[in-house]
Amino acid sequence: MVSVGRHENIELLTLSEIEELSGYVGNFKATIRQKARYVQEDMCTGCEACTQVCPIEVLNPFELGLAMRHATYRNSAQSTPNAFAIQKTGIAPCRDACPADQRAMGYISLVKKHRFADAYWTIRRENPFPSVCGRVCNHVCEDACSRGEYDEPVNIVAIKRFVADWAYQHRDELDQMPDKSIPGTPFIHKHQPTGKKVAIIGSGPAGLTAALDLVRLGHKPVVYEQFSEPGGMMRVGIPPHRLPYDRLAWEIDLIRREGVEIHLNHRVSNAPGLLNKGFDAVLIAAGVHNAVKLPIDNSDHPGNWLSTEFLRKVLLGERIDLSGRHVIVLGAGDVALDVARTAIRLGQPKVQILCRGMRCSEHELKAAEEEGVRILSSRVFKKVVTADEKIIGIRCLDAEVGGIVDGRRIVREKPGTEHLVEGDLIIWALGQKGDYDFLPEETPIVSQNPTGIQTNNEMMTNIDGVFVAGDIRQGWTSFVVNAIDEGHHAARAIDRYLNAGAGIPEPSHGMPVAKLTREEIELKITAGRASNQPRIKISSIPPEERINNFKEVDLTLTEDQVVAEASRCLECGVCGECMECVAACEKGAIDHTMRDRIIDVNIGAVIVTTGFKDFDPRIAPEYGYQYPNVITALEFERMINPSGPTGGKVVMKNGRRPRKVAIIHCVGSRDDKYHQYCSRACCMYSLKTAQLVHEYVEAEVHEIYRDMRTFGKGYEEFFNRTKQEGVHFHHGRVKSITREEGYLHVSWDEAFFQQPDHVDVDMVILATGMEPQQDAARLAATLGISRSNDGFFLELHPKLGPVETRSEGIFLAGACQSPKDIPDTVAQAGGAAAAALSLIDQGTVKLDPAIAQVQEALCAGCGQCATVCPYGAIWIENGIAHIDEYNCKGCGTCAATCPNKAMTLIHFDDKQLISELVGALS
Amino acid sequence: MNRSKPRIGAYICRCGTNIAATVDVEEVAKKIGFLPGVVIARDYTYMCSDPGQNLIKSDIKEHNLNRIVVASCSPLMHEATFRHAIEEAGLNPFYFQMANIREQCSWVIKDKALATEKAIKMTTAAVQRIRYHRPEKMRPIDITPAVLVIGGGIAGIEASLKIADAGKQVYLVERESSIGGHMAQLYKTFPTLDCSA
Repeated sequence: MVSVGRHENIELLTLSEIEELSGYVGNFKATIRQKARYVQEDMCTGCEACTQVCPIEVLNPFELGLAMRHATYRNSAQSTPNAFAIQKTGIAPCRDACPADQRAMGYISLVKKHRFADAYWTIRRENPFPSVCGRVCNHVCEDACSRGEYDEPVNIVAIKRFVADWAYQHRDELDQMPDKSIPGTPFIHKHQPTGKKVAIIGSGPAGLTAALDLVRLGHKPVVYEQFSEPGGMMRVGIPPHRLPYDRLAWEIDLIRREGVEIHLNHRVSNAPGLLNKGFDAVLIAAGVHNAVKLPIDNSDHPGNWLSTEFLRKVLLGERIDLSGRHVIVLGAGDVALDVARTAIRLGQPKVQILCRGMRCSEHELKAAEEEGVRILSSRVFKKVVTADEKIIGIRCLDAEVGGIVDGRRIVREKPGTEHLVEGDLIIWALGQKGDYDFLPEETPIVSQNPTGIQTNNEMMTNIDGVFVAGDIRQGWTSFVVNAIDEGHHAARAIDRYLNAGAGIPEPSHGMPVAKLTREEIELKITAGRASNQPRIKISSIPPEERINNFKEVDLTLTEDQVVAEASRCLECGVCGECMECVAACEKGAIDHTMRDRIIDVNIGAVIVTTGFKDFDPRIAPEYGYQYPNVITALEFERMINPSGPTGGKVVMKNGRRPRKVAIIHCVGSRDDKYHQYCSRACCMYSLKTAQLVHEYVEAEVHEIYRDMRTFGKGYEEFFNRTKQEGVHFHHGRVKSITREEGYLHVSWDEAFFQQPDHVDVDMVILATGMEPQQDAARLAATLGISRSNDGFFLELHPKLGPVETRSEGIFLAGACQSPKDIPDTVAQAGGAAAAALSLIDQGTVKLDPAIAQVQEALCAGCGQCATVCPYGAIWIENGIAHIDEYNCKGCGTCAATCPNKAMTLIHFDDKQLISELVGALS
Repeated sequence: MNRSKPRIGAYICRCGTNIAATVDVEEVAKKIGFLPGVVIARDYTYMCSDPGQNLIKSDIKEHNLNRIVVASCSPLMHEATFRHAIEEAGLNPFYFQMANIREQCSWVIKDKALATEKAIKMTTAAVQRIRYHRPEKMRPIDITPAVLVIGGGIAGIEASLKIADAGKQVYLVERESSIGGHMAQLYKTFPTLDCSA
């Protein structure tokens, strides 16, 4: 193996498969797909640092499932190549669903291993606001979670909140740690300054995310905030009983400490004008802060408040007392609930939410109702009713409320149901729009007021250098996580703008989504690879303890709970790209952006040596493989191998050494139920196994064989030696293996006269036979070679062409042609190598002249021939068909198709064929 | 070579008794001999044998033949043999046509009369066709002196090393992350009980 790795004439392509073979003998072209290894083979030293930090564990196929391995793996310490590889089956659905590309599966797998600091870095890679998103996110990740197909999704948002809270509690220690989210950087990054200044209007999630990205790229962002506190809607829109001020302040402080300047109480009146004041680019991320009112009667009465204004006042410290009031909140979403619950906390007024139908978080709705908020749904409101200049309520109609179509509810009013909902204060929470105060009166920016600002694909307005991101771009409110996504996009776009098109490209995963099926999920859970516990729900402080204050309502999970919840994760994509390996690799060899490579090689000959698949004894229940301590011979090989999963010890499930072992021959071979053929290696390897068990395990060995086929050189002598060592041989055909109390009962028939027909043992080793590889049919089709009835590849002739195939230039060797042992395989491989060498050493090959040719005068260039050619050997140029004479195989399809008879086949022209037919029919 | 006037030699092989047991080869030769352009039609025990080939060669010279039809076995078996033989006698190898009266006739038809009739028709078809044959040329083309080996188990490793040691380029394609196949999973191997790594 090692010689292959370092041979100058061998190009070793691992993780590779043949996609296509074209051409002809002496001149083939193979198209090979090399799967991404995600580790640069030439840089990896095999030091194992990456695998030591990998949190993912999957069954190790090299160890036949007898051991686990990490997503970052290498088959064995002696592997050629010695480089590690990373197993990915796709992008986890949670990450795929997240607008901010959060590696949810990645950090959950770290949480499962109690690695909370590492999980924090993984979250922070894409998200500067873990504390916020751990609390107020709409978690579309959970909607996509594969686990939802089985019971309930993983409580991803609660896991994130735990990690964020853990990080907050350990914030002083974090300062001492290197920031693993960007390998090789200290917690506070130092950047090579570019000297470019970017003005950012608004310190909400979009603005600050962009600012942090820009500062990390070496630019100088300056953020202008109109209010007295930074954070945008996170600060003036979300009340602290859901998002405490200190957590947000900490996260903003971290952004500031990296070099982002934030100017508070600074209202920008001419955003484009900043380009003339020393800024190289401007980002508008002002958010939408104006709640809207409907033009109904008395809606301009001062007793009508706006949700945004109300929350802003309260959250910026204004004292408002609502005790004794009757508050009506108009709205159906999370903002309406925030308003209602904030109002409750200002003196426990009576609070009612009036709406057609709620469209909000179930959890928030329940909490609001617990706090005394009444929801009056299935109503439409007609006017605000006043008496003596005071508001006394809202006139409503009952309504039938249907589903949501195009984002709007279907509503049918019920005539004659008019009634008054009493109240003296109306707070409007129906939706928000932006103001455009940051634009001068005669602005040249194309805005689509009230639905956002028009931008190109690069988030730039029609004014060069002025960018827009976040809610103000769309013109309506969305979630923090969407704003974070907008911020990242804007920062990358601005970086490209400042670098004249260079700069960071948009990331793409280039992988399918690894959503698991219900069957796959059940398999994982029953195998114990994911916890079978139900979803852990978060708990809250009791209503009576919270309605008169702004203490955070929801409690964080305990450490035990969060690990238990993380253990429910099914780890859909195998590797979750937590990036721990990238941080651990000193050589910088790991590259998660690698993609599959398509490699074309030109060759003169092909040798197929794809080997065999071990017979799967699960389909043969009589052999008892379903019982513990019934193993296959290959599993035995891994056990007795000092580098195997048990370190060379052959042990039973209870950890003890077996005292008595049975070895069963012909499992899956020479059996009409499975395979008729003899697998040819099993008798001999069974004898070898018997010797190893006898010598190393010191157990009594019983071999149950049907015929002893020891035909090779030195094989019969090997058999004799095994007999002399005291191994017991029983002739017979195994009927059944059953599990009894404390032992396995093996019985057989066809025993020799008056000889035993059963034995009780501790362990059974099954000498499983060989089968064609699972994809043998696909490969045969790709290469254009045949298979025999047993499914193995068909040689040209069993005696005269044992390594050749019917396709000239393609040779066979080893167990892909028929079951064979190692000496035979090596011999046949030598033969195939000689045959291939003999071909390619000739220098030239003579091709048959019987190919298609074009009668140019007759060709109309219709191209039908090119369409039907199975070899792609015809093309139309200057209105005439042309033939690639080397790729034409002379099949004649084109000649049969050509309506003008312009295509003929040399040596098979019409005259020749017709006179042949005349002769045959004479 | 006179392309306008075909002078055809037709040879009916007995293939020991493989053909002759169910096909009346003499009758076939007789019938074929009457066809226009056929100068000579013979049957013989083994056309592929050296005396059989020599028979064709000497007839070409003696009777100035310019087209040869052999009714015998599958062209997969002996087309190359006969083309080579007539080339040695100075004819273009494509002035040759084979009729497969063994696999497609004598081996699959039991009734001698029917088999003979079919053999005559098949041979007639070949004779009719060969009138329009032209002197084609094989196309020589350079060989790429490199080999693709699919599968990195012991067979693939062994074959790759042999070819690479001979100084030729090898592309060894392996599906897994490292080579060795099943062999890499084994401990000791029979009959020598040496280590497999």
